[in-house]
Order: sequence, then structure tokens, then C-alpha cells
Amino acid sequence: MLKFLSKRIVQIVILLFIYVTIVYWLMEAMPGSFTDKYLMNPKITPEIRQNLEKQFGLDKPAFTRYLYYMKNFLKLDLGISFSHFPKKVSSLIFERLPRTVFLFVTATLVSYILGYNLGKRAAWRRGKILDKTATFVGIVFWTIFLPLLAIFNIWLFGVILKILPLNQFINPNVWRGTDLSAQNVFLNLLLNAFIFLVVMMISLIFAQRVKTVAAKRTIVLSSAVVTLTVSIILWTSTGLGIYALDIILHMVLPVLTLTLYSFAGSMLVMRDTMLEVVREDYVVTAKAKGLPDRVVRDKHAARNALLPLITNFVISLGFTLGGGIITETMFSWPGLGRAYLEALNSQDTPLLIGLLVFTGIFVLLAHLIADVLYAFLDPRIRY
Amino acid sequence: MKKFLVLILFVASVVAFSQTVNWAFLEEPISLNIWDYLGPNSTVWTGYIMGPRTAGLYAYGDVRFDYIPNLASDLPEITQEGDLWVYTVPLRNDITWSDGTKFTAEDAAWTLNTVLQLIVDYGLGGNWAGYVDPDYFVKAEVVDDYTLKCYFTAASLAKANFGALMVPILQKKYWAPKIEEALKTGNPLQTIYNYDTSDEPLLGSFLLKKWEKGAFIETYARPDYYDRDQVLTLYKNGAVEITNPNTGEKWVGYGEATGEKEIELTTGPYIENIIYRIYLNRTAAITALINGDVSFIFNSLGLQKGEIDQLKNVANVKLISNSVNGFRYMCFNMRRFPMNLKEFRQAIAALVDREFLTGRVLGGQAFPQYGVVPSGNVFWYNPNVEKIAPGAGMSYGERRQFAIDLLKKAGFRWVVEPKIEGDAIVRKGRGLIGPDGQRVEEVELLAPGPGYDPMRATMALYIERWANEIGIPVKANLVDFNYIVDRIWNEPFNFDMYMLGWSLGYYPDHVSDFFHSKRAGVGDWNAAGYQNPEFDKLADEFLAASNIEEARKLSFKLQEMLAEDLPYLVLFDTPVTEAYRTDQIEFPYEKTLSGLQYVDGVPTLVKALAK
Amino acid sequence: MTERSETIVQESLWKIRLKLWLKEFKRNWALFRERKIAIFGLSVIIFFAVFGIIYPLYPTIMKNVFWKDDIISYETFTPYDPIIGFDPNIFDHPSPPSLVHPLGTDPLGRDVLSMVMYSTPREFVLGITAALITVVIGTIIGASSAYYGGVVDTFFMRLADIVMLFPSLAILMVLSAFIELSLFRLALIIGILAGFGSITIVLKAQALTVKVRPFIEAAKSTGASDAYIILKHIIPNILPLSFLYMMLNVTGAIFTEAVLSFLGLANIRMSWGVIIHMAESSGYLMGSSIGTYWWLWVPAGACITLLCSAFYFLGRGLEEIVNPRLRKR
Repeated sequence: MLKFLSKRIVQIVILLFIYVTIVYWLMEAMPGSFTDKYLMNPKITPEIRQNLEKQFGLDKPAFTRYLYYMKNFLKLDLGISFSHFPKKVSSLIFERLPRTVFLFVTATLVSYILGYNLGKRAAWRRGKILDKTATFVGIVFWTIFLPLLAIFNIWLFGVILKILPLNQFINPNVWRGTDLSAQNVFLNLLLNAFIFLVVMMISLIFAQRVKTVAAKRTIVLSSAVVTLTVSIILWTSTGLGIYALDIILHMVLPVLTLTLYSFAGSMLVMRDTMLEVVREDYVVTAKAKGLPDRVVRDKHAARNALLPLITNFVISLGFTLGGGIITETMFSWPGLGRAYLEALNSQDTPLLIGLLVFTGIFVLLAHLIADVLYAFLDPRIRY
Repeated sequence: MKKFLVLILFVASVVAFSQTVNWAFLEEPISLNIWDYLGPNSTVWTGYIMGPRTAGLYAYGDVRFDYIPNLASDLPEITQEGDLWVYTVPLRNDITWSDGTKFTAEDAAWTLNTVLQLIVDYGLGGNWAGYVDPDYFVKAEVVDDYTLKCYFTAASLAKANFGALMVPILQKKYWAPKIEEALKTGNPLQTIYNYDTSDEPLLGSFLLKKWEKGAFIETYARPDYYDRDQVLTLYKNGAVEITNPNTGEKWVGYGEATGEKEIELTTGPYIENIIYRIYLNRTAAITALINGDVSFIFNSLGLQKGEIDQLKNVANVKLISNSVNGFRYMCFNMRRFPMNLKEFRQAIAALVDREFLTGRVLGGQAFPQYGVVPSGNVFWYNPNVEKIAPGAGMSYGERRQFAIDLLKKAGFRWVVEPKIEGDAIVRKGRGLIGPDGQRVEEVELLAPGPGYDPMRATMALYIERWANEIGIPVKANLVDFNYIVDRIWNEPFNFDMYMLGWSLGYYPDHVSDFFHSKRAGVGDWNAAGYQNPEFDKLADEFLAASNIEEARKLSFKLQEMLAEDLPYLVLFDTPVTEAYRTDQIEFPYEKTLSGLQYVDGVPTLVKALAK
Repeated sequence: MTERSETIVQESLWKIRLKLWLKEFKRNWALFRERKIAIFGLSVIIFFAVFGIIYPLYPTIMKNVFWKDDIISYETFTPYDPIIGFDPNIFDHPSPPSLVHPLGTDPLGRDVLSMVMYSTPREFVLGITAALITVVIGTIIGASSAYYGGVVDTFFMRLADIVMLFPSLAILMVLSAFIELSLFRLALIIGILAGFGSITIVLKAQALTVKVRPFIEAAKSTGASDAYIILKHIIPNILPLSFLYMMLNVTGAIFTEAVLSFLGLANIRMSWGVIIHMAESSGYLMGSSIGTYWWLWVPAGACITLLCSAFYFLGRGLEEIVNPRLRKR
């Protein structure tokens, strides 16, 4: 396993270098440059423009800049953004990252859970009403033009029903009085979620050890309840509760939209794998044993069909950048996807390259984790 | 528990809301560091907030954009000392910075001299150089606490009055040590841009309270604002009067303060806080306006037709429409054949029926423009250009015939000559041949694509069709905006015709910038390559004018020359339509060039209506 | 020794092949028909194909019946160009559906139905070209990787990794800035980008299962060249899977173009995405305008959804034929 990991990491590093190079030259090839916007201002004479170009480092030839960029990259410095000159690209990415991560991980999780549930039920009752409707509805939502879905949802829930906030990720009236920044709350929320995950994993491992079903259930349930209560107490006692609640409230609509849009993907994967699993001998045995239908479905069939779903989930996490552009624009959620669009419009090359490189790293890591997880979950696979 | 929270939120918001206005932005400002803002990172959004934070010696008055003293107490006195021109500026003695210190000539002189030094020695770029031109401004001197002397190489309205004397003044006590520190570092400009200015003492009326990145910016009004209760009176005879009952300040200019008043404005501020909410798409901002979350939307492009239709039916939302200071135009590359022939340009101009395009095709969303000074800039606009335009007032057929006649007069021929009968084209023209027998190859028209600007794209396609009908082989290429910019300025001048737009300042010195022959070099503004020594002479006189009436006459002549020669074919522009909630705020006036967003929403004059 | 009557095969080889193929086809068709969804998909596609082909008829009919040029107007109807066509007879655009304009007009005065129709064949071309390119590239690479293994395999797999790293939408946005993206070029780029990506991995896995079958060994021992084996044996056996993926890729291509146009990034003159973009940028896609001005976005949006889901359903239907394990027993 270790050998596999080390080999993969070497491969990742090499891939990353090639990727960064290609991305760099691609961005360079774009016509025009950031300083072109000064052309729209008659007060800026050519000499002044040249001065500005020098400040951005654009006066040196492309290859020199490339070498300079790679040198900085090795030091994990992604350069200085043009449109937010002279802020560093890495600090800009870091500023936007928690917002995107929180929204998309939640959305992907919810979407996959929904897909998992629908998929296993649809496969179990293959050809019946549930199967047909779920597939049909899922595909229709899958192929709906996402911006239209977003607009519709905003209109329905925000304007007509008025139960969800319209846009942005916070409500200024709530946040005015404090010195707190949303960044902090996001980070705390992420930390909270992470701790929750770790606790649940530990409790699951403990549950494996224990023999009886009842004991297993108590361990898992109690750890979940305890962590949740502790979290809520922490949040309310430090007074940060309202803020976290505000953010979560604003997240409901985008998550809902994204889930509707993409649940078909995970549902169909689940359904297809289930259909294959259903023919396996152990499922037939379980049925012959007289176990209740639901138990056979959930404990035996679904669990084994889970594998490709989980790996898909991890991989789709790697694509938070691309998927985000439309959602973030429609819901005024200033995250990484939105940053990409803005960087493109203003031709902020360092920021563009930085974002793409960052996504690349994310995707590569996600693949690696997916492969490791696969081996972990399926004892038949050994590297 | 939840109800209690909601109650608290409700009470808090009501209390907070009473003297707070919520305004919507469509993009986040970059930085509130003024060096950065007037340097490489200038965006309109940053400008909306920076405007109320800063002040210059002179400023543009409300509504009419009269040139009025702001930090100064009177108009400058111009004398000549040797070969330098000296502008003596008397300053007001009742102005304080937000940290309590008094504003003196030291601050002004320091600012001007430092900006000059940074431009010349360190390459400070951007809009700073638009204010302080190193070719004109020499130095600033302190005479006494409230008198300033500025030295220029020539007397010039453009470079002095509307230039260096309008630059935002910064506090010497706060900035001098910081600038000195920065100059010692390896990259002084970057260090300066990076300074956090949240504790900067300001001369403006609104100070920063909180900036929640990505979500909103909150500013609050200065309780000790020195211009509180100042009254600005504009008289119909052109006179301007500034008085302040608290300090006894009084200034009158441009005539006698008698007769009928056009408008009287009393400065507040009347509100305590402004929250600028950042939305990332227009639908969101407008929905917020409809919902009552915000009272006004900042948008330099104005509202779209559909949005206007939507808002027309919403109670308590008022729509206002203003003309803009800008235009969209087509430019001929006069370095190439056949664009170098005046008759060719005039023929194309004759073909373009602006009224049809703006009135019918664009559904009244745009209005025609004829000259290089927009018609909205009333003081500087020469209405004669409308009459000089080829094809003015002609019908469809008459335009085409006129164009054909123009070409024939210049010596053009066709393989197949177009024939017009009445308003119909009986025979399409083909194969245009120039006067020297050279065949006219495809003429490329670069225009932005429908994604960027559907109006220009549509216009380009119509021009293409109209030209093709009489045999002029125009081909419209709808491409990315940056690609056009690249072709024109970086390649350079690799174009036949292109279509872009300008957003202009009030003082029309762009007329010289765009058409003077010395600005025709690579990367410079005279992209058309217009070379006319007569024009150059007049333009130089215009820039050097020190009397505004004289400048105006010269500007009129320049506009007429350009309307005749047509290096630019100015096409149209769109009025800027804005909307605000009448149940939440009240503006003192609604008619102003480029709309209320151009004057930052007049935060010192706007009133909040109690909910 | 038994008497063996030699049945001399009278028919030519190609006729036999044809008959065999027809029989197979009939069997698959029976299977296919069982899946209602797939039938639905196919019929929708045929509808759109017809819809797109009859496009030139529509303005001709309308011109003679309804759209009259008036002398003052500028001959906007001969020939009718849905991109700059403009109806000067109606004063207020966008106008709701009427006899003259069955789906109304858009803010610039263009007839919506003709815009939608005009875009249909283009969308087809876009989707099918992109999908075809993807599949051709993916199949060749997949088969070769599986067959040759070793360096070739590693190279293409790593290449696929790199290509998959690129967020395709992001890259397309960048490319749209400097290549004038006509629909055809966009199709090419989408096709190539997808062709080197994940599809190669899937097809390679499938090709591997073919490679280990005995007849490949047999072919090799009779001296067949590598190219022959790949072309004649491996590829035909993975072709069904390729075909399936082609359906899915069509959806992806149409969608990507719509998103690019919606964001105003591609400079395509007319497509469904452009229609929706026009509606949004003129401000008609908000608040209650969504309902009042429905004809500005419903036709184009519905077309995208219908056509994309149709291809998808078709793909699902084909899946059962291709993968016998998914069939109902």
C-alpha cells in the first residue's frame, strides 16, 4: 500500500508540473492583457501604461515570466493578482475557499444521499412506478438548463413564498453590529463538520467491534447526538449561533437547487450497480433465508453497491470549481467559481492560473483519496 | 428560543434601519486605498465609495457640473512669473480632517508634490497622471497656512483647473511617514498600495465602519462634517452661490446671485449609515429592490428594458432616466485604403440611419449621437454636428443614392453599379473599384459579440448589410472585446473599421487626445490616424485656453471639423435608467448627467424616510 | 463416412452478412421497444430532426402569408435572417405569441420560432460532431492502449488524467476569448477535449476484456497485423459501448454550449443558449416577468431539455442492448 501511495504521489507531482505548464501557456496565449483596460482611459498615456506594465511584470518576455512563475510555484507562492493588485493570489483563494467548500460539499453530500436512497429503491423495484418516475424526473432535472432552474427557485421560494432569503450568503442586518467576519464563522463551521465526521468514523469503528445490533446502534446514535448537542451548546454560548444559522439559512436554496439538478447522476449509478449486485448469489441466499425485504435491500445489496458511488462522490468533490460558476453567480455566492469568471473578464492571468492550478491539485488529491478508499472498502482490491 | 432570536433581530433591524440606507452593488470594490484606487486598480465600484471619502481643492457642483471651490475659498488667481504660470489658491480655514486636525496648505502642497515625485521617479501610473501631468505641473508651494501657489509650465484649463487642482488631497501627517517608509523598500509602489487605510484621516463625509468581504460594506456619516448645512444655490442666469449659515462662508461666481433660482441644495448628511450590499448578478439586485431589501441600485450601465418593464409595475419604485456622458462609435483606419478617402467615410455615414436603428430596431433603448462630445454634456455640445452629418433627414432611398453619388464623385466605379428607384434597390452593387483602379477588397468591421453588447452587434450587422447592398464589401466580425483591443492597440492598428465605445469625463479634452496627430503613435489614442494640421493647431489652442468661454468656442469648431472629416462615425448611446424606492429614500434632484450613480448617489444630500 | 451433401453457398458473402445483421437488428429492436423511455427519446429526436430540416420552409410561408414588407421598412424579410430579422410592423418588442409570430418576438424584434428552428440543425451538428469526434478518438486510443499496453498505455492514461484535470467549462471560457467560436469549431474543441479524457479509460477497460478472448490469440497466430486486429476485431466489439457514450456526449456538448452562450462568453450568432442569454441580459428573466414573458425562455429551454434528455433516454435504451446483464431476465 505504501509503495502504491508513494508511486502515485510521484506521478501526481509530475502531472501537476505538466498541468501547470500547459495552463500557464494557455493563459498566455489569450489575446490582450490586463493592461488593456487602461486603453479605455484617455488620461493614461502610453508611457504611463508602460510603467504600469512594468509593475505587473508584464514587460519581461513570456518565457522569463514562466520561469519566474515556476520558481515561485515551488515555494507554493502563486504570484500576485492583477485585478486585486497587489494582493497575493493565494490569499484571495484562501478568502473564497471556505465559502465554496462549505456550499458544495454540503450540496454534493445531500445530492448523493438522495441519489443513494432513490437509487437503491428504484433498483429493488425495477420496472415499477417508482423506478420509472424517479428516472424520468431525475433525467429531466439533469437536463434542465441550470440557470433557469436557479432563477425559478429563487423566484418561487424567495419572492412568492418568501420563506428563504433571496441571495448572498449572509444578511447584512444581522452582521452589522459585530467585528466578526464571515470567514471565521465559515472556518468554524467547517471545523465543526470535520470534527463531527471524525467522531462518527471513530464510533463506526467501535461499532464494528461490538457484537450485538443494539449495541452498535447505541454507539453510533449516541455519538452523533452527543456531538451535535455539544456543537450547538458551543455555538450558542459563544454567541456565534445566530451567525452560523444565518449562513446555513442562506445555503438552503442553492443546496436545494443543486440537489435537484444533480441527484439523477448518483441515483442512476446506484441503480445500475444495484442491478448487477442483485444477481449475486448472496442476495438470493439472503432472500431464501427469509429475511425481510428491506433488510436484504439495505444491509446486503445496497451496501455492496455503495462502492462506485463513494468513489464517484470523492471524485465529484474535485470539481467544485467548474460546477460552481453558474450557481455562485445566480445566488450571489462569491466563491471560487465566481472568482474564476471575474478573473477571466478582467484578464487577471495570475489569478486564473492560480485557480486552475488549485483545482488541479484538488482533483488529483480527490482521485488519490478515491483510489485509497476503494481499496479500503473492497477487500478484493489490493494494490 | 427561536422566536426570541427573531424578535431581537427584528427590533435590531428596525432600530438600525431608521437612519440607514441600503444600496446595492453588482461587484465588490477592490480596495479603499486611494493610491491603489487612482493607480492600477480603479473600478467604478471602488469609486462609488471613494467619492464621499475624498475632497479636492475644486470640485464639480451638483446638477450643472459648474467648477466651484471646494477646499479652496475662491477661484484661483493666475499670474505669470518668468516662463512659469502661477495659480494662487486661497484656502478655507474651517476644514478639519476626520481625526480633528485642521486642513492647511501643507497638506495640499505635500499631496501635489508627492504625487508628482511618485509619477516621475517611481512610475506611479493610472489616474494620478490624469490629474498631475508632469509636462505641465512643476511644483506647489505653501505661502501661508491658507494660501497655496501652484506652478505650471503653461496656463491650461485642462491641466491646471480641471487637472491638478482637482486631485484628492491627503493628510501629510498620516501619509508622509508611510510614504517615506515605502520608498525605502524594494518595491515602493506595491508597499504603498498594500497599506491598510481603515484608520486614515479623511476629508470626506462618510467613513468606513465595516467591510465584510464578499457581502457588504458599511459606512457612517462624519458627525463633525465641516460642510454640514452648506447651501448651494444655482441661479437660472448661470450664477452659483455657496453659503453656510453656521460658518458665515459665502462665495458667488459666474454672475450675480439674483433672479430666479434653478435649485437650492442644503448639504446634510441626513443619514447615519450606508450599507452597500454586494450582489453578483442583476436579477438578484433587482429582486432585492422589489422586495425592499435595498433602496437604490448602482449600475453604470443603467437598467435593461426588461428590468424597466418589470419595475414599472412595482409600487413605490420610481424610474429615472438620464443621458450619459459617453458614446458608441465606429472608427475608420485612415492609414488604409479605402478608409483614407473622405468620400468613402462619408458614404458609409450616409448609409447609417441612426434613427431607424435606435428608434425601431433597438426599440427606443438607445438614442442617436452625432458628435464626439455627447449631447448630454450640454455646455460643451455643439448641436451643429447634427446638421453636418451626411444623410441627415433623408429617406432610405435618398441615403443610398447620396452614398452612391459621393463614391462616384470621388472616382469610385463598380463592376455592377447599384441602381436605386425610389426606396427600393433595383440592382445590388458589386465589385467596387477605387479611383486609382484598385479593387476594393473585403473591408472588415470588428464589433463586440452579442454576448458583450447586443446593440453594437446588431448595428454592425445592419451596417454590413446596408453597405453590401450598394456594393461596398463590408464584413462584420463579431469577436471578443479583448480581441478588438488587441488588434487596435497591440498589433498595432491592424484593423479596417471597428466599433467600440467611450465613457468620458466632463471636460472635453478627449477631443484632442483622440484626434491630435501627435497622439497617432503606437499604443496611443489616435487609432484612426487622423492627421490634420489645422485641427492640431486649434486643439493646441483649446488645451492652452485659460478662459472657459474661449475654450468652448474652440471646442465647437473642433467638433464641426470632426463631423465633416469623420475619423469617427459616432453612432448612439443608451440613456441610463435608474430606480429607487420612494418609500425608503428621497433624492434632492433626479436630473443629472449620467444619472445619480455618477455622483455616487449624493450621500450627503439623500434623505431616509422613516419606515 | 457419412454422406455429406455439400450445400453450395449460392449467395454472396455480403448478402449473408446483411441478413445476419438484419436479424440481429430485429432482435435488438424488439428489446429496444420494450423500454418506453427509449422510444420516447428516439421519437423526440426524430421530431427535432424534422423540425430543423423544415426550417427554410417556415419563413417562406410566413413571408407570403403574414410578414409583409412595408415600403418604409428596410426589406428585413428578404431573405429572412433570424439573427437580424426585425419586424417593423409591431411597435413594442418583445411581443407575445400571435398568428403572425407563433412564438412571439424577442426584445430585438426577431421571431422566436424561426430562431429556435434555425438553431435546431446547428445544435444537432454541434452535438453529433462533438460526440462523434470524442468517440472516434476515444475508441482508437482505448483500443490501442489495451492492445499495446506498456508505454503507449501509460502515456495515454496519464494524458487522460491531465485532460480530466482541466475543468472543461473553465478552459472553454478561456478559449472562447481568442478563437472565434463558430458552432463547428466549438464542437471540434469540445469533442477533442472530451475525447482524450475519461472515455479512453472506460473504453480501454472494455477493450481489455476483448483482448483476452481466444479469437484474438487465434488471429495473431495466423499472422494478422496489429492494425488489422485492432480495426477488425477489437474496435467492433467495443463499438456498442462507444455508441452509447456518444449519446451521452451529445447531451454534454449541447449543454456546454448553452452555458457558454448564457454567460455571454462564446460569440455564437444564434443558438438556444443565445436566445436565453438575450432574455436574461435584457432583464426579462426575473420576478414575475418569468411568467409574463414566458415565450422568451420556455421554447429554447424546453428544446434544450427535450433534446438532451431524448439523447440520454436513447442512450439508456441502447445500454440494455449493449450490456446484456442489464436486461430483464
